[in-house]
Amino acid sequence: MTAVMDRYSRQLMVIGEEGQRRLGQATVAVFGMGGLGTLAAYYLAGAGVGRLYVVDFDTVSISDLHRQVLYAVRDVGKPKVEAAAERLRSVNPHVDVVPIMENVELPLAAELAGKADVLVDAFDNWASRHILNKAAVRAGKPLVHGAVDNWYGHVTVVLPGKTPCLHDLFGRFARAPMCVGQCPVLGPVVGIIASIMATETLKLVLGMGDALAGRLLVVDAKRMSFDEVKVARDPSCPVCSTGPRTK
Amino acid sequence: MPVKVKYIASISEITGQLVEHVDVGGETTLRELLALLSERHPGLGGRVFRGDALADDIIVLVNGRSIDWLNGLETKIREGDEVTIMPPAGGGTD
Repeated sequence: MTAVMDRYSRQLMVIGEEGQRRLGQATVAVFGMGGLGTLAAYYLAGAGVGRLYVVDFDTVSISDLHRQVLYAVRDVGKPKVEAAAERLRSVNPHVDVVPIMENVELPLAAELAGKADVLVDAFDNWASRHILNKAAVRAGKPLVHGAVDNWYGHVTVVLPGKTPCLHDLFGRFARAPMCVGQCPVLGPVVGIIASIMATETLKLVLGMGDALAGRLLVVDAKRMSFDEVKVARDPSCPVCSTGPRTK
Repeated sequence: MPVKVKYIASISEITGQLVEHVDVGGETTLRELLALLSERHPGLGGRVFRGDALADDIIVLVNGRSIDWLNGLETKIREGDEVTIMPPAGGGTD
């Protein structure tokens, strides 16, 4: 018990024993073990989230290492979720890390949305994001969404029934193609966005602070500018509206 | 009160600024506003329009709502509105 308290001593001063207990009882599912997912998962495991699902179908490439902080050269070629789980367990063996090497379709997203308290959208493509968004809305579970490109990134929290869902805001991107070749991105910019996503996830589990809900935080690291766009639900959204679809 | 236009990510690279305040003289449409901004900022029109339509990979929010759920490019823009123009930052990045 003392060792556990030592492990969390610095954050206990912030969240208290009740907060630590809440984290230990929580389940979080992180979708995408790329740049955003690896750093977010690291912080969530370190903080002592009880169960952590990590989901990705891909293997580690050498070009991942500049931003995907859980992997090393020895992991190149390994399934990301296996390498990530091993590293996360080494950081905090008290966390039940569950690796799932699968391409995410609606049945898997729905299953994990049923099990998790918070869902983390760290995908690299909009089609998968929209699948997860649909599952989150149906299950009524909070969804922490983040995305990066080049020097830029954004984050928002979807609270089904209270805030716009991803379809409200980004429905147009549902079939947007992935980058041709490799997406341009700077490692630390991914880190900024992933850190904010992990912070929001912890806040949701803890019930502390004001969630980044109904607000789209936009980060421009080239100018080091943080701006906020207040976003609103649309009554005709076909995913999250209970009203008739009008368009 | 002018319209506040926010340029996100690569759109701000075209305009050279993150925010611009535009006097629309009461009321206009989004199409007219974007046409005006395209005259001011070379390259913007080619990025946000595909022919007469909004490009598939551009999102425009008016007061935080996607124009896809409003009236598209014919959405009315009034003094004091906030318009956000953004490309898809979709990477996670796997």
